[in-house]
Amino acid sequence: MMRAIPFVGLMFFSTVVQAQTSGTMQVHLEVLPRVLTVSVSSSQLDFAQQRADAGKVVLDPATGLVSGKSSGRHAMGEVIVRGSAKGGFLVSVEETVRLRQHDSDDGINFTPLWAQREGCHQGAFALTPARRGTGILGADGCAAIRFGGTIQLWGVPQGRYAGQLAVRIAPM
Amino acid sequence: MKSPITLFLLALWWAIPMLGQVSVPASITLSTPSPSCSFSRDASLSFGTVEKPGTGNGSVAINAQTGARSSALTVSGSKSVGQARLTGTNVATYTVSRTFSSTLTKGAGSLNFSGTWAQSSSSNSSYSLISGTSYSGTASGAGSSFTRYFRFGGTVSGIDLNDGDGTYTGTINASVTCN
Repeated sequence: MMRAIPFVGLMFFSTVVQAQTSGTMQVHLEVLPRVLTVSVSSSQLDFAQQRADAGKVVLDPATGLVSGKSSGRHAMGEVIVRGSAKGGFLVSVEETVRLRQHDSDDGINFTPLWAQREGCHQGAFALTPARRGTGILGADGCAAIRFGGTIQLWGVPQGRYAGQLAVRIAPM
Repeated sequence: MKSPITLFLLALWWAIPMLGQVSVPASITLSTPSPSCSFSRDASLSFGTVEKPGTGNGSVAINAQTGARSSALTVSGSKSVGQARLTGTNVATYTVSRTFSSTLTKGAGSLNFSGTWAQSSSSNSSYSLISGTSYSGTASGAGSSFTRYFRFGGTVSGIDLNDGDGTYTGTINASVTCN
């Protein structure tokens, strides 16, 4: 006598099931114009005491020396420019500045000179022989500009002469 | 004492061999759990603000692995590395494909953009750079969930004085297939 064994079929289905998704991301960059920061580190440009008939006196901003015989301490104006490393900037100075005595019409003409140095910590100043010129910031994003100039002293009345030198510095 | 119904079934059982063999088919379908995955953005890629150089050109970069920003230009403002996460369940393998914009644009103006990306199983560390446009990885398989993290960085180059001021934008697209 035989007893049938019920057949049970197990069937496995192998299917490929995938899920998909996606996304988007924004990328931003804001670009700004160049910005320069200008600070005056020395506002006194001083020829010190000169003889009234000294003739042409030069306060050389490249060397820091003054020609002729003077007494007292001379000084040069100095401006520090900061911005992007190796960035350029424009410098323009007045062609002639009239220095006057207080409460007097007497005056002498002052012709500015300027010299620049890439970087604020080391290096020599280079004279820029023009009323307008370009400067370059150093790798430290800094440049120094020194101001001197020339005066002619021929029979000038004794006294103290002063004036204002306007300097324009703009990013390139 | 057996009931009449029990006696009938026993009689039927013993009667089957005399009637012939009978197969009773039965079937069961077993399938692996369906994989599911989701790709979500945690942060956009932002280079912040850069000041145009006075001469020549410059670039700004964000490292996809570390999120650090670097540039010889003057940069400011908040920056962020692009961050996204892939989460899924019942996933054995996955492939992420990305498409980077080649430029960031602002109106008619554009800047060159070269994107990079990296992946990690940890959100904050151990990111490995990915070369190529797609990345395939393994996950924990059926019955488990997993998370992978992706970072997006790159370099914006050719920034010069002639570029217009303003915000330049681009897109990064990513698509994911989970198996």
